[in-house]
Amino acid sequence: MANKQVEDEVPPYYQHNSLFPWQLSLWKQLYSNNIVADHFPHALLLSGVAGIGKKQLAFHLARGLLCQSPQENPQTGQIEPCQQHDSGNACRSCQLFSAATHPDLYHVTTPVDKKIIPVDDIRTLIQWSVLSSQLGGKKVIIIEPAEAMNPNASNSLLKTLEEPVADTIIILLTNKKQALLPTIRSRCRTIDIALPDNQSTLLWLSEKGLSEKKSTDPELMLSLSSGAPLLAFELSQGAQLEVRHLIIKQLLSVMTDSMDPVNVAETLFKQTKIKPAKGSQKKTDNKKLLISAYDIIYWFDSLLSDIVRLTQRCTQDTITNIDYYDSLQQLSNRLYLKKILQLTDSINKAYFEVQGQINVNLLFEKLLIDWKNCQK
Amino acid sequence: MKFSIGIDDLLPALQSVIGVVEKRQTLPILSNILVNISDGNFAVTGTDLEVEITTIIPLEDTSINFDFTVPAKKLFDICKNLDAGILLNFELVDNKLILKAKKSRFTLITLSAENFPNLDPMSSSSEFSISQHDLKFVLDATQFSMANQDVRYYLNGLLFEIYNDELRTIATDGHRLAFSYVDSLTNLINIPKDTIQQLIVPRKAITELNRLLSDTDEIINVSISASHLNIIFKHLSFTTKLIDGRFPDYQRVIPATELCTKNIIADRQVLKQSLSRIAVLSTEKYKAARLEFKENHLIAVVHNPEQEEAEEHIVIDYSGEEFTIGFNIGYLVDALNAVKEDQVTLSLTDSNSSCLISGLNNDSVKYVVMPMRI
Repeated sequence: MANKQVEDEVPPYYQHNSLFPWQLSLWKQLYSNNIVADHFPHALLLSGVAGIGKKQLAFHLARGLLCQSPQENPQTGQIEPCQQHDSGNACRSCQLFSAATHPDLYHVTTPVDKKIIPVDDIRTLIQWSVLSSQLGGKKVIIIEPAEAMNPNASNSLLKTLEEPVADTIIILLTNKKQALLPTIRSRCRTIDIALPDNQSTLLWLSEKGLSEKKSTDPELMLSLSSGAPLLAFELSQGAQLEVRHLIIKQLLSVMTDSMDPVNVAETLFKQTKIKPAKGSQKKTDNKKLLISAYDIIYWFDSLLSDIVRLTQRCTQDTITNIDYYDSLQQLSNRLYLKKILQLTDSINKAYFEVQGQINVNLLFEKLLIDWKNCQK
Repeated sequence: MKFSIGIDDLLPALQSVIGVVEKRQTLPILSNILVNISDGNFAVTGTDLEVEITTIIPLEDTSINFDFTVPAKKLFDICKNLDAGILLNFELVDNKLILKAKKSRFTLITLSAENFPNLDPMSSSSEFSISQHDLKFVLDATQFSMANQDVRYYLNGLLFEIYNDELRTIATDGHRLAFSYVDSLTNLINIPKDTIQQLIVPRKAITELNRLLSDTDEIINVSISASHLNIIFKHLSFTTKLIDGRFPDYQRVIPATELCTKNIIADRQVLKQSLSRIAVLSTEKYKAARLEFKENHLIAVVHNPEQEEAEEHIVIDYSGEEFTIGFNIGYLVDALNAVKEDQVTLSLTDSNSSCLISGLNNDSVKYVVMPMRI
């Protein structure tokens, strides 16, 4: 049906109309207090690690700023924009917001298939920003990720960021605050979003249906995502877990089953060459897991870091791959620490090398031979 | 839900709206137009979030009430290629619009009308009426001086100033300024006496509005709110957002005529044509020309980096001390083009001050051009 098709195109963060539990106090500080006083900083920089819900918060904030009749939500006791459960009563602003057609919201992000926000996009934004608002309220601009703006784009934004026209609020999102120009940072009120504590995240994950009995044990997910709740949830839903098991098994086999490192390298390399299946039904086909060279290096890195920790007599709760604790513990006694640290250096380089024009097969062979040679 | 409409009514309506619907849109729904049928009116609305145009066609059947949005370009192209004079049948089934005309049949996908970001009916603060001819006059007289993509965003538009029954338009790009006014506003509503009301209309809206205006005496109704300007034509409504900024104090830039010590009267056509001729050899970017004013005589000289040179001798009406001044010749020609009188006056104080150009004995248009150092 036509309508259905279009609704699917609306990105979920436009329709996400609630707060994550760990954002409640921040919401009070950022929104509830300010909306009562009708006083809001003209530029906000939301900074925090990936997978913590910055984008959802920013869009909810934008919805709240544009909403024509914010009211107290009885569940949270917070002032919030019109609630979706009584969508029949939602104001015109919230209705347009949910349809992603709000005329006073401007969302700048990287163009499809590109990694930077070009200067022209920022110039168009500036031209838009000086026009009066359509619904007569505030105007909100969301730029994410802010570090994706190239230097020209950042510089052209400075003047607007410093002094936007009245009732215009600019929200920047970043998970690499240090990558922003200092001139951008200094013009924004920076909000550092901290990771929620593990207890509340575990509670949230189990509410989302993650159970200890399944392979998606909340504690494991949390450990693998270094505490970022949304990342942990995403991990439990996608194929990334299987990818991880496959990679780690292959890596360990070099040590435990004395597999030939060159053969293992080739197996892994062939995995990265699998093209995405065309029909969507084939996605579930386990034999055709999509693995990128980046994934292999990432999990290799994670494994090595754990081994280094274990050689330093660290306990189970300080490592990332807690489900492989036993095998890693045994392994850590059989390896040269010095060589592992050297390998870690090569791996750090490999992150950049795989982005370029390198022979990935040879890179894997080298890394795996080094890995084999770590044995005492 | 069915209704039908004659293609001869529909096509001109679509034509007026299609201009604002851009091909590249930030929001996908903006490539659609909103069709709203209620109370015996068929209304089509297109918007690019800056300018919104609605055209209205009266229907015979007053009992139908519904709305939808449909891809603008596709609907327009279909209508354009249909034979004149035929009747087009609209039918809405399951979010699909079925068009039938003679032996043709088209099915278009529609989007929900309630998600279309059109303007709510405006609560205007003040209103006035003006003839199309007068509005066109003040736009034509000034719009060429607007800045284009200047960082001083308030210059990228045309200033409307309402003062009693006067409508003044002012445009400047920082190098030259154009001013014009008419005092024929009628039906003033909520316009306080002896108070100046200012609004800046964006550049794009001015171009679009000028396209809609014709040189007739038809009266149109203009209403203003804090954030929008709305103009009601007979079957069309034009609304634009305003630029949220303060226009510089232009009065200080216009030299007072009585303080100008050097007053020159020239034949507009002769001056314009002479300057246009020598402009050929001026540098592309600055178009600098040196004007040497002598007793009843003007020598205009241009050079370019290739060492080419052009010179014109022009008869003028001037008595006073001789002086030399540099100008961007493009700005002079623009101003001379916009003046309607046969004779123009150029008023200056010295060779470092700006030049005021207007028609002889007529101050309804004024142009100020800054001099250049040569």
